[in-house]
Amino acid sequence: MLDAVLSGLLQVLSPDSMMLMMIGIFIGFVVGVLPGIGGPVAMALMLPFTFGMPPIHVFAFLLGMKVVTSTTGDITAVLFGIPGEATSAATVLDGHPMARKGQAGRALGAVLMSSLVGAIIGALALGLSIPVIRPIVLAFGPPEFFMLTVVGLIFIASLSRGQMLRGLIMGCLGLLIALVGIDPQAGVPRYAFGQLELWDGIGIVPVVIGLFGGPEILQLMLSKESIAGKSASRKIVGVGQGILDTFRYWKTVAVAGLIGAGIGVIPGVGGSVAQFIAYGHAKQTSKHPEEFGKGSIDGLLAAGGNNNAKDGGALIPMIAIGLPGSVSTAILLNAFLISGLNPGPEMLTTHLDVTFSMVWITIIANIIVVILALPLLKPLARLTFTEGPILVPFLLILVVLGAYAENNRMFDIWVMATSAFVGVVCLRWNWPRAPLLLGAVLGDLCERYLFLSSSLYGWSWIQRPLVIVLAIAAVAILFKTGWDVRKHARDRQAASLKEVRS
Amino acid sequence: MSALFSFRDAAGVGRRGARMLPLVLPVVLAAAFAGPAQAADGCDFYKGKTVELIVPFSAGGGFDAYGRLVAKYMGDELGAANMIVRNQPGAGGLLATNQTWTAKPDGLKIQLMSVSGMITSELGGADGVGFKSGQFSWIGRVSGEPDVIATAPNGSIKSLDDVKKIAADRKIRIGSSGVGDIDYIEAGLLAKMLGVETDVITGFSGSSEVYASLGRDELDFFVSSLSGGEAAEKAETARILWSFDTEAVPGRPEIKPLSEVVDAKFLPLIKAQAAVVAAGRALAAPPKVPEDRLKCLRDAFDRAMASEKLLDESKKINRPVAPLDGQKMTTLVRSVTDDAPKDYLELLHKAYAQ
Repeated sequence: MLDAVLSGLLQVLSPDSMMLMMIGIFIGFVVGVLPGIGGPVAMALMLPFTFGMPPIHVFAFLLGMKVVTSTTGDITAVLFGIPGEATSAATVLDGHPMARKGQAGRALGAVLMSSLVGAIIGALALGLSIPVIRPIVLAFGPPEFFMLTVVGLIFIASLSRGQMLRGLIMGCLGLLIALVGIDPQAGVPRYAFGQLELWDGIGIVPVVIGLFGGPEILQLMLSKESIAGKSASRKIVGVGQGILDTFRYWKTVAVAGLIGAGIGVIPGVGGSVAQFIAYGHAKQTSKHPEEFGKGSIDGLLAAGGNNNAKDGGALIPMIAIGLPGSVSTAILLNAFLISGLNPGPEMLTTHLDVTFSMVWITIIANIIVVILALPLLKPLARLTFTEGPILVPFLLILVVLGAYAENNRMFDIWVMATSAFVGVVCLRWNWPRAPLLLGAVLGDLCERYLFLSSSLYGWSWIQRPLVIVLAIAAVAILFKTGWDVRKHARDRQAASLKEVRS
Repeated sequence: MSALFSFRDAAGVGRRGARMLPLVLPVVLAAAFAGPAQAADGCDFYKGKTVELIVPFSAGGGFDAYGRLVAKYMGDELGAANMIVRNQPGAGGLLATNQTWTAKPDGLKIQLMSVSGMITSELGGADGVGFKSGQFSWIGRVSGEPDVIATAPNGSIKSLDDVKKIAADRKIRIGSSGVGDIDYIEAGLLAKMLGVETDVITGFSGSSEVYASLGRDELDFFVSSLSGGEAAEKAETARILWSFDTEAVPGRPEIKPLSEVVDAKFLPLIKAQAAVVAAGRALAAPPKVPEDRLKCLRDAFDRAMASEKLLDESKKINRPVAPLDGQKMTTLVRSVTDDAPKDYLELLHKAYAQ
């Protein structure tokens, strides 16, 4: 085993692999800052260039690219409030408010460093799971996946604290969005209104870009000011502080990373949900939950620490049994087959070095990204001081392109525009947006896995040990949220009473 | 593999070929006398033009790899300035196929078709089908492989008797990635032929998830492509048991053809399904592309598919090709759409009517 660990490292450090990794990182950086055209699209387009390369070169190139797009997705989320990928929506919630307060430098420093820490946690999770990878992956069937989606849905409650009713309504709206498309069991189109475009459901990427990016662009257009506004000083400070913040709140980052690596394993759920679970968890355990959504550093760190960790987690079922956990791992799986590798036991025996090389590539590429991005943070942060009218046309192009790129169709641009409208309404009347997204992503999976569980196991799936453990966890989270909300309300009441008395 | 297709060729070429001869002969003669110069002149149309190859699924998948492989070499053979691949995913390929059906037949837009899926959804009268497979201008088949029936890697099923033994206790479970998918049709066919009580389990997101479920011993059977089955065998999530065919899989004598396992009365059903599957992935242009342009496309396709470079690359990326020329492809598609057995059609209608 140690041989394979070393051999994997040496092969990654060979000049050819390092060179390809650098090219991958470069492409990923350029493409990744365009919202929507995140990792999966970049990887799919670059896949044909890997034809004929040895496996480790392929992964150095593609994984390097993937890693950097996760990070750059966070950068656009912080700067413009437009998530570069569906998986960096949570970064917007606190990262962008920080930028508007003129703290873009600190936010970028924090997100970059926490991404690195998260990536290392994800890679270690992958590396450490290798000896037991197959039994673990095979122990999770549809019943366990269903319960995990339930746990995810419960976080809607903690994400809606302070506006519970609105949060639940938005969550339901998300679930309704998830209903659109071909019903996974009976194959009947639901709410498709005769449009073939709606058969596959409503794409999550255009929804995320519109929901979060739309209102920001509108605000810039109307105020004609820069993102950071007039209030902030024009000096860019705090990159160093952001990096330090990562270590000051190391627990938040580490837990977020572990959540990312863990949830990343679930096929289909992956990053778009892990981020909100990590964020919701951070909010629940934070001393200042009321700051979340207004520029809280722990919220940002949780989102950042989670984002790159999930990539490591998503690789686990792909390597173990050939089951991809996310869109980008599905492309990696194809790269596996193209380069003549077979996921499964082979990856844990004869090709163990390749498996470990993926761990190393994740770590090394992330370190390189941080080193390369650090000097760029100041000029990037300066963009938040650019006048709105100059910035807006570029941002408009980016969101339109991003919505279009995933499936090459006009329809998605209309989805994005509609979501932007919803986003503006939400922001104006203070309705939370994250529950909608969580509902939209989880609704479909929740339904599918529930149906599968019952058609495979009848009612006996309820007795599976892991299902029971997860159910207990779900109930515990629900109670904890309820308790916190009540306590908060009581404290507020007490405070106002005191005010009245004095 | 060749034996596999000979039956399909026999199904159509003889009859239709004879009818075609008077039409084809003058063209052949004219071409022979005019020499290669004129043949090339006929394709001047493509000089400097950009040909668009539509792939009806997302970039980065297996289908996409085939599209890009062909586009890379066929564009040059055609003399076009560019042949670009455009991914247009949606509704399991129906979205793109419907659009290609109504596209301008100028020979500048072609599509890589998932032929088996389009034929079964057309024959089954599925929602959203706006085309007739037999009327596309077929350019040629890129790849086609038989489908196989896989069981759990450590499961007890080795023969039909084992199936019956299990069926005495509980229903046999067959996985499917979705109602109306080709594996759903095959699950229905298999259920009918095994003659035992079955549950077809749907709701999986795709074939890799069905294989994962098979690996967890939750299912008894799953029907998929040979390459998919072999990948799952290597991942130890499946064991290939039978081929959905009347012939054995070349190089895998231990995999019995289904026709030798089930009752002989099901032979026409197996043949019909095997023919549908054999149509594989093929290139087509919209209906009524001018004869000369279609000929250019077909010739360029044939040359590209025969070129050493393409074959080398296909081997390198583990995407085997099984070319069939445009004329034969047309015959194959029409033989299936025109002559499908009645009980096969009934089963398809039932599958899509749900």
